[in-house]
Amino acid sequence: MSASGAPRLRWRLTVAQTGAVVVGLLTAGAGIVAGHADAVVVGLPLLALAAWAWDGRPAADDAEKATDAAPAAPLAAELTADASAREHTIGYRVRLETPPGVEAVELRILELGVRPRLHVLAASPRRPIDVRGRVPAPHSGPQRVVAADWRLVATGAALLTDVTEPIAVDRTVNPAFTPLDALPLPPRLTGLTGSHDSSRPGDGGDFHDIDRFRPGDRLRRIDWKATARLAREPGELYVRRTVAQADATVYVVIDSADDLGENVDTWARHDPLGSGTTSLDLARSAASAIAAGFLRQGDRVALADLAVPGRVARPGAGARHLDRLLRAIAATRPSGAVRATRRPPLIAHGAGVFLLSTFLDDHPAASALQFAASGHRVVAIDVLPPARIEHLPVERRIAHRLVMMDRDNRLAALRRGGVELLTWGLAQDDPERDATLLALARPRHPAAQAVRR
Amino acid sequence: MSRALAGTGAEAPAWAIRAALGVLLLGLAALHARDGWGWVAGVTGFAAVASPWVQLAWVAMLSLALSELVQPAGAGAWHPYVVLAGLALAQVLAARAAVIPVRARVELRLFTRPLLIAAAIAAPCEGLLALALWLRGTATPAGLPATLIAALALLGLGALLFGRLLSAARR
Repeated sequence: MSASGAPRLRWRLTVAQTGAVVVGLLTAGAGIVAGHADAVVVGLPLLALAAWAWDGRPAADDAEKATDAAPAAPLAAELTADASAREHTIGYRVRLETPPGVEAVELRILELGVRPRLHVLAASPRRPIDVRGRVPAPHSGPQRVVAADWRLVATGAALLTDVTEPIAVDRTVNPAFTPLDALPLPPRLTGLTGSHDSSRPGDGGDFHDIDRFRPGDRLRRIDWKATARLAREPGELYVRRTVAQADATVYVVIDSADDLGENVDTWARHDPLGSGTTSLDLARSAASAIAAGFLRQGDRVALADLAVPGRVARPGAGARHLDRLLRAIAATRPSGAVRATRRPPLIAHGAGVFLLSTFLDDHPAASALQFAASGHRVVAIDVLPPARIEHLPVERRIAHRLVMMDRDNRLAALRRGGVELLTWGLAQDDPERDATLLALARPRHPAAQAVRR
Repeated sequence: MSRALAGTGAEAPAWAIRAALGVLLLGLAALHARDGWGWVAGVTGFAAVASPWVQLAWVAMLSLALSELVQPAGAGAWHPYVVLAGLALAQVLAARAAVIPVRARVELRLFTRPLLIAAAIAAPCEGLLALALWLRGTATPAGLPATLIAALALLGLGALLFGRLLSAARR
């Protein structure tokens, strides 16, 4: 992918040209008036350099020389970047072809929106400017990898253009994740096929119960031993029933309202290099792992954004749906939306909900409690990374502590409301998290397997 | 801003251009420290380093040139030659310092051609200066050689300019 452009630039005279002409003329004039030939000669180099610069100025479109009011010939510009991150960096390349008469290009490159680098490069029509660099990619998600703008300096620095509109390259970095194996299922499974045992009898695998033979039951399901043991009347038959198979529907709900890093000092400003791992980095990894884990089991997964109501992927299954979901998750960016009148997304009946949030404000917690109260199994995943506060001043530490205490109260309220909590840590493979997930995945209400009479 | 881009030549920080300009102007001003113009050149040269876009460097250059008027040199003097070469170099540096931000990094190759051009211009001017200083030392009336040489020089410069412009128009 690349960004390219051929901006039309306008030239304007610099102080260098006027300065050289004025000083040269004044010196020569004063020398003539005073009758000092040596003073006249001292002014000559300035006039000659000004003449050289003026003579070498760039050509305009209409074959005339450019002046401060005439448009210059366009130059070809191209900015390219690697398609994806490699070893946590993304390479880029800037290529500029300058017209004759341009002595230098003042190139400004903004990496990740925060690292400006300014280079003044010698230009030549025979040798295009071709520079390359690498940008660290510490975060997943959409990001402006590099933006570049420039202005041209004419021969002798006599003329100068304005700075061009920047051209930029954006990339979406996919989060690193490992599909989860043990996943908590919703209490109510749906569909007639699937990979999970449902609570109702049907054609499945595992034993459900022994029941009387009814019209519609297959003859091969008659359990003769149970019939011999239980039958009290002639013709009374018992069948061995198995559970039906079904699939689960889960909603992965991401709260993209904020994106907070480990470094608490960067919470109020954009600093992708100093922030450390951010909450949305963890949310993207967690959401991808959950979605891939469920879809690998054949379940149906939907995606919703708590902060952006319209951003919803309907429940679906299969490899193509997984691709679609992973792309949507990777494209999640901090919305910064105000939550005043926002409604939580609509969740299908019986579906499980995985709500990923920092829980630093009331809205996600209220939504989780609302989902739980509606009968959904809700797993709240805390994606706030561990805070680094050692370098903070005392007042900020106190403020951070107050915010965390408020958050702890919120999380306690979630527990009381029947919402299960899971903390998503920084490590890709976290045994503690896996153990918690395994515990959550165990059936909460094992079905009593009994003989119905 | 010390990170380098691949594909660029040797670079130097832009403040080095300003520092070089300041050193050059102060050094030239020191040659004329005995008269007022030298002090004006020193002060404006120093200020030009801080804000090169307000043409203070050219004020310093003008002061240096005018100081040659108030203190006429003899035929054996060496400082007019240094001032002439210094002014050509100062024009190269001041022109770039005026347009290049101080926090930039500058490819050193940028200066190759301007310095060669400045040297090519300064060399014949040094010859003219030697001729002018020699003529001043002769018994001819003072105004005549100055007027003659100035007229010749301006005519030569005009001819050069018109010749280049006419050739460009023909292209």
